[in-house]
Amino acid sequence: MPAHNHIEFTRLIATRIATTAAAADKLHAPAGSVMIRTAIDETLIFPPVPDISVDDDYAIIIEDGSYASAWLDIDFALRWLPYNCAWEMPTVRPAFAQGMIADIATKLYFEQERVLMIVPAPYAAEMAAHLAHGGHA
Amino acid sequence: MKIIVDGTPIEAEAGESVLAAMLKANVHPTGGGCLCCGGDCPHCLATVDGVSYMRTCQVHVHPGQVVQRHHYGQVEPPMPQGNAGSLDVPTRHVFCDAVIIGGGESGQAALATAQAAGQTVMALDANQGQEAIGIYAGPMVVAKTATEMLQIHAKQDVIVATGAAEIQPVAPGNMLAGIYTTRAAEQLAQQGVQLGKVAVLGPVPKNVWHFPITGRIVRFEGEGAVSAVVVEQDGVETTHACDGVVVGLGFHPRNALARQGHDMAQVRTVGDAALASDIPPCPVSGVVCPCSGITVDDLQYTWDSGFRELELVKRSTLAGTGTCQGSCCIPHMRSFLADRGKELQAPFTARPVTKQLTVEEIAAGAHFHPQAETALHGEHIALGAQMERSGSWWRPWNYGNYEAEYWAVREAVSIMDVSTLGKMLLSGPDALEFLQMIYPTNVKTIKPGRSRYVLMLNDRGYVFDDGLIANEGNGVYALTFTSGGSSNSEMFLRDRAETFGMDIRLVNRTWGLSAINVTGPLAKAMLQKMGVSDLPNWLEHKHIDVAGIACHAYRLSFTGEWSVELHHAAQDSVALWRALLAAGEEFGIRPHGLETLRTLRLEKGHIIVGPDTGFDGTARRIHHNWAVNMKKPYDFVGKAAIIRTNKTELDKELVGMTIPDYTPIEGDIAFVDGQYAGVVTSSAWSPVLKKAVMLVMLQYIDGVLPTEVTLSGHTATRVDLPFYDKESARARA
Repeated sequence: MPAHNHIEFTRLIATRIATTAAAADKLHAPAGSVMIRTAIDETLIFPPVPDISVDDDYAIIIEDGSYASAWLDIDFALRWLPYNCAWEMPTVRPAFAQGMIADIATKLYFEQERVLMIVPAPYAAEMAAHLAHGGHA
Repeated sequence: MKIIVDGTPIEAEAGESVLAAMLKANVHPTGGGCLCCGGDCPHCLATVDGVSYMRTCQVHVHPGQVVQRHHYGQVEPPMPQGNAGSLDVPTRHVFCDAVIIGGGESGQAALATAQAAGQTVMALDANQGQEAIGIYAGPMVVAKTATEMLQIHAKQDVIVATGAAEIQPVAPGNMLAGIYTTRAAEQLAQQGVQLGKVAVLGPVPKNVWHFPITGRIVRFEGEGAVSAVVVEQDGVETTHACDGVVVGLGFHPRNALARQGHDMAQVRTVGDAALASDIPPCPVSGVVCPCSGITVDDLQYTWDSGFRELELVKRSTLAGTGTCQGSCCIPHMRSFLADRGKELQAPFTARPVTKQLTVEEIAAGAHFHPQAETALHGEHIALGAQMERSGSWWRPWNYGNYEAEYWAVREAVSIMDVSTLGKMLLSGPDALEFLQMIYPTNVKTIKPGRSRYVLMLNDRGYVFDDGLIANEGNGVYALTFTSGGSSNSEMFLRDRAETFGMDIRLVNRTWGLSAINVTGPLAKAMLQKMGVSDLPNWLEHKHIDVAGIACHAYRLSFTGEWSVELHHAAQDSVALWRALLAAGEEFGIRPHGLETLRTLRLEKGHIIVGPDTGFDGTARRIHHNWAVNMKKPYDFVGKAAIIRTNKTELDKELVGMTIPDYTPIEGDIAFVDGQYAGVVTSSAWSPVLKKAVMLVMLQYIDGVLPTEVTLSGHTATRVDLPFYDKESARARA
């Protein structure tokens, strides 16, 4: 059973944008940043991009630390996730997926060699404990 | 090697089944019944190595193995339980195109076909320890293995290739030892079990010392084990003395899994599992369902009682609901009902699980509800806080000295971590219109820089949350909600925005914004000494810096003292907390927890949504009509219900009551002259008022609201709210 005792989550400071679906479709993150569409009307970009342009006068653009994240080695992730996700993992890279893991709303950003696990910051300790335990209780 | 059976060592040979080893030692696992060696019957069940309800025909021996029998009629079968060392059974999720259940000929053929078609396939073979136990919607096949549970999500095909089971005999004496199906006799003989000279009815098993018999089985005779079998042919009964009886009565498909997934197009049966069942002669007497001990007489009683459908007979008798899930009884029940009703009915519905699971296996993959921690969790622990689950959050209950915390708020300065409050930001072309439709207050009159306490009502006019609306200007509103209410309220807002067709933007900031409430008569002085000069006035809010940290400051009060809530980025929370504690040292600062807050707010008569409102708390019942503006020209959520219910007489009200020398528990029942009069929703001893204060949902009795009630033998008197600082001079100072 895969387990990992050394996963440390750190608060993920990001630019969080709530806007229309059309405006979100047009968003472009600068090179070197990661942009994930967490909902039809919400986007996270990290590191933060405070001066990003959004084609919506009513868009809410805030610097936000709602989430905490940790990088997982891809080999560990691909062994651990099948024991904890009732949803299918993407096979392309990069890729974004989200769903519940241990009753915690979790976002996964897959790169070739690693996976960024993003959880609500208040639940980071729970997820770290879950990872350390092997993730099946 | 030796294995231990009921505390006695017996000889066993590597590679043989526990059943074979036991029979060689003249020990029957359950005492009797027709053994099948196919995992289809309950007659070889025993507790093996601490796991009960194991089919011993399917388990191989190992040195030191410990077996306890489930002897029919002598011991109560134990509750299903697993090995104490295997409390954590993991669940692995597998995604594939097809799953093939069964490793026999038809399963192998299906596997080859699927692989040739390029499908990704998961093959389950019970003989290899992978036992499918259910097919759920999806379809999703759940299987158990020796080390884990599998949840297999098949996108295209679920092929059930589980073969067929042999039909068990039903006749008087069929629970004696020494009865075998044809396949069982062959397998046991192969493992060296001496069956003696057996009478064989039907196909002849290989390598078994036997003599053939023909006819219909009338009864099995013997004491504990079969010593003779009586058959009838052409009206003549013949008794055959024997050491055992081997019966070959035909087959019925092992299709329980397919019957679970019968309405799923992806689920198919192949091979023997797809064949029609042989139907035995109608049983006359004997045990039909060995799991539940149901006899032919029981079936007749059920039939005579008017139950004619197989599904109903199953429910009435519980035949088919036991260990073998109908494998033994279904052919005979069908035959019985066909004889009585002249129509062959289909087998009854099957539901997971088809095989016994331990509690640990059932619980595999289940999780405890996770608890959230605020950014200050570590600070609370370091300060010796006793943490308590509150909603989905860990919160400090107290820091070891409730009384000192209470007086710090009332007479000095205190801080509390209120990061758990729901916090959202709303904008959009329809933002104001939307809020007018959601809240019962007139949001238009909340000017920029101002805030207002608000109720949230559902369509029935019941209060389900409360909080604050703060106008940020430029059509942007900051909203707060109760600690447990943010997720529910967010769903509510998003759902209503869609229902109303309104164009809004909404961000739930609860996880990213922390909040610290600074409260007490010396709080303002402390903040001013920290260099904060532009504090907002009562019910105003401002963006200010405190200790160099950007804060959104709200002037309000839940404690009854001067208070300011400082909302700030969660990553700055520890720094702000520490700065406030350091600055407050000379003012006697002390953090307080929920225990203190509950008393403070109760003294002020402030409600907590949930405990004080219940599921049917209207604004009228909880004395919050002042928070509902019926004149504003919007059909806000709950308005129609309020109009309707306001036409009825008020039946109960949330009121304040006091007792001079006794503090009732929350939930205590109020009586007037022995008649139920209400329930205590909140209760505490007030240190400052030196009496017990409480909120009571009080019933009108004969149209009158009682002025006195009895609570656990003590007289409580109704008083006006609030109990403390009636003019709110301290809060608004």
